[in-house]
Amino acid sequence: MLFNSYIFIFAFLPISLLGYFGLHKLKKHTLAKVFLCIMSLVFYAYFNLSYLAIIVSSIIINFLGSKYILNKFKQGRVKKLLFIILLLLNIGILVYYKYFDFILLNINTVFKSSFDAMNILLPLGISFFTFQQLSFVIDSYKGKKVVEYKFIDYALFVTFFPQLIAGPIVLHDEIVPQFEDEENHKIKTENMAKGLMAFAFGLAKKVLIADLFGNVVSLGFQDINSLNTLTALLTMFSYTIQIYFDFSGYCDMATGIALMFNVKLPMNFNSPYKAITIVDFWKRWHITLTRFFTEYVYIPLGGNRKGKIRTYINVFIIFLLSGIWHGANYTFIVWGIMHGIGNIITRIFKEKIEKQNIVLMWVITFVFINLTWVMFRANSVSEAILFYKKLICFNFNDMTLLTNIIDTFNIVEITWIYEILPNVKALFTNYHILVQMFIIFVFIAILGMKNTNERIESFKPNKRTVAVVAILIVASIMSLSQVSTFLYFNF
Amino acid sequence: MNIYIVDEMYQNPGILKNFDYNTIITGSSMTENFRVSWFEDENPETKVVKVPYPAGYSKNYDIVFDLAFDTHEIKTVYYGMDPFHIFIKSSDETINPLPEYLYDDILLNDVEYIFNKDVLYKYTLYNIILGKQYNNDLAYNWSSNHKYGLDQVLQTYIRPKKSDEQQAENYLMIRYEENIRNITKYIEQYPNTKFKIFFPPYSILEWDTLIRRGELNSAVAVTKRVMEDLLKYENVELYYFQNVEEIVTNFDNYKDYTHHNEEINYYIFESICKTGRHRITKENYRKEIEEMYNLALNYDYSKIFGEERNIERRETRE
Repeated sequence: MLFNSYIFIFAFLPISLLGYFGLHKLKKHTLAKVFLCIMSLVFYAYFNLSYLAIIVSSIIINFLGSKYILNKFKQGRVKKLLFIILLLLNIGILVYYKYFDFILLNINTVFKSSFDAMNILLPLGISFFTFQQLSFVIDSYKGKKVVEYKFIDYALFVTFFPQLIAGPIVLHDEIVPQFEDEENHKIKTENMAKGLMAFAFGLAKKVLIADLFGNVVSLGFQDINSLNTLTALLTMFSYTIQIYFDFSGYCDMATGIALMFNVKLPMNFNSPYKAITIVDFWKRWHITLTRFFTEYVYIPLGGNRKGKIRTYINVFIIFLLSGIWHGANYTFIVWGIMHGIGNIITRIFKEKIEKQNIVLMWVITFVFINLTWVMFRANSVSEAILFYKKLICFNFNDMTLLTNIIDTFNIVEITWIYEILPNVKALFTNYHILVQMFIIFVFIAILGMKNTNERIESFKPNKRTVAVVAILIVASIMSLSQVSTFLYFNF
Repeated sequence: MNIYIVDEMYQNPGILKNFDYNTIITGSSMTENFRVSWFEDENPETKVVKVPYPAGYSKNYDIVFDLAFDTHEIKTVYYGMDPFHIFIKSSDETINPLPEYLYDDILLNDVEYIFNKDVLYKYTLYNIILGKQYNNDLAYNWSSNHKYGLDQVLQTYIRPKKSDEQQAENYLMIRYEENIRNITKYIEQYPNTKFKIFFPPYSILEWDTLIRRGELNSAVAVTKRVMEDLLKYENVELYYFQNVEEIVTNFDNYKDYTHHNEEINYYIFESICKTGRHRITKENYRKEIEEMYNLALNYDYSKIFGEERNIERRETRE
């Protein structure tokens, strides 16, 4: 299921909240957790029932496996063996579902074989719930932060639907206690209000901004050959915006929904485009992923405690893994490597950088981010390279695409005003007012506005907030569905 | 209260389920310019709705008939059939994906239409503020929005290259049986309903296209077949307008090579409901088709395109 859908907003969410708090009110605390867990599985399996088998077996195997590691074998080879088996199982499932065809493709290229791709359907969120459980398995093996969880507590930690499909990657010890805490078993109006506000902002970011700029991205990447410098620039920038508002919108919605259940999710997004350096960027973008890799890969590899060269290698490995984690395509690997190199360079020249002008550093970082997103978005490395070529060719011919791009900003909320006030239409069209307004707005948003976490902190229930939240929610819900136009030529 | 009927895909199901009517007008965009008032004035007992589907395949009309007969007692059906268009694709396909949620019986999923900014702005606010009228009479009507004439037609007419091949006779009817079923099953199931089916007059350039693509023989074959099949039914009246030379060769009637204006729709209405002209019977259908065939072959297309005159005087075939 998606957060941005009628069925979620009007049916699923209210039912989940009512059922969960209702059961708590009736003092059926375990049942409340079971209910929430089942609802989460419904949320997960909504698009494809076969996903269910994978996640349920994954949960059961990891729970039992970790329990054994913890209890039966305090140390020794059997414990280590079991641990490695669990590790391989989790990673194996991930590799199978996500990377099998990609690996096959490479084998075909290298060995000139022609194995058929299996077109394995990728279960939603498998990267997330696998990593989440891996952290638990590893903690159990190391005896860190370990508590004996009941099965339902563990299951709820993995399946809790706000974070199930696209993160944040939560750690067991930051979630399970929150469900246990009796204080959280009652509806808290403050959390409901903050949660609703966060959800409204997140929904608006996704539906009103990300999807809008996404239209430009689709146009641009449809036919890269027809791009010139200006349209390539607009496409690249639009993707930078789309992925930002899509991801941060999603995180906001997750945060907001979880808060309604009185659960605080870890911050995942902290105004990343305000970052001055690329190192700073990764402390703000997908924070929980960075956290996972730091704790479970970087530090075990030695972190920065084994000298400069080793540190740089460790950093590189992290970004390479991060690239691979994002998808089964060389574009993601190259993207990861690009960021790895960027990080290393930033570290090498740390002192010099700190003395530089902040604005200059911001520009360099922002440009770097824009350019690397092209690699992330392209369908292949060669496609990305073609895009880069178009970008720097300084060609300004063929502006048909530009007209189409500008036209995507003629949103229906404005075009009806065009019909009544033709002077406004002339003015807006001749000076391309709308597209400029949108670009200026998003710049203000990514650089100047508070992010949602900050809004939650400083939340004050007043008329202004009510008005803003109401407008955002209504506008977003109205945008969930569109009328498709049918253009025909012959009849 | 003003109503704005502007988009068939979204509004036809609602009209079919909820309006009060005993007569329907359907067909492709060729039928969009009929006025309901003509029919109702002629016969005050009729209550008419117009439910066309532009470029519709037979499945589109299956859907219309299904919804109509399911919810109302239908006395008369006026159906403009496009025989070169509807017998080729699968009988399960509509010309474009329809918003299923408006066609089913589930009310809850209609929320997609109600909380929908396109509907709010494009269909509702626009029309209210601009004071446009698209009531039942004028539903989907576009006649006054266009220019007519040869210049206009030539602006959009892409003349196909002349093909040396003649297509097989069944070229335009490879899936005839399953598609005609979408229509005839209602003719059979409702013998008390009158089906007045007509073949709209495309301009002569439609035939230019058919000839140059080598499809003329197939066009004749499918027309003959449909007529023969439909003439079997007691409750069907057939009308043929494709060979009306004064209409189809006068480009002032057309905005493009197939679409005619409202006046021609009125002529069709007049013929069917008042004069009975152009009625097809078992006795005259072959002759009518032969007239069409000769008209198409003998027309001097070079007048328009300035090429060498190229007639083939052929004997008509059975």
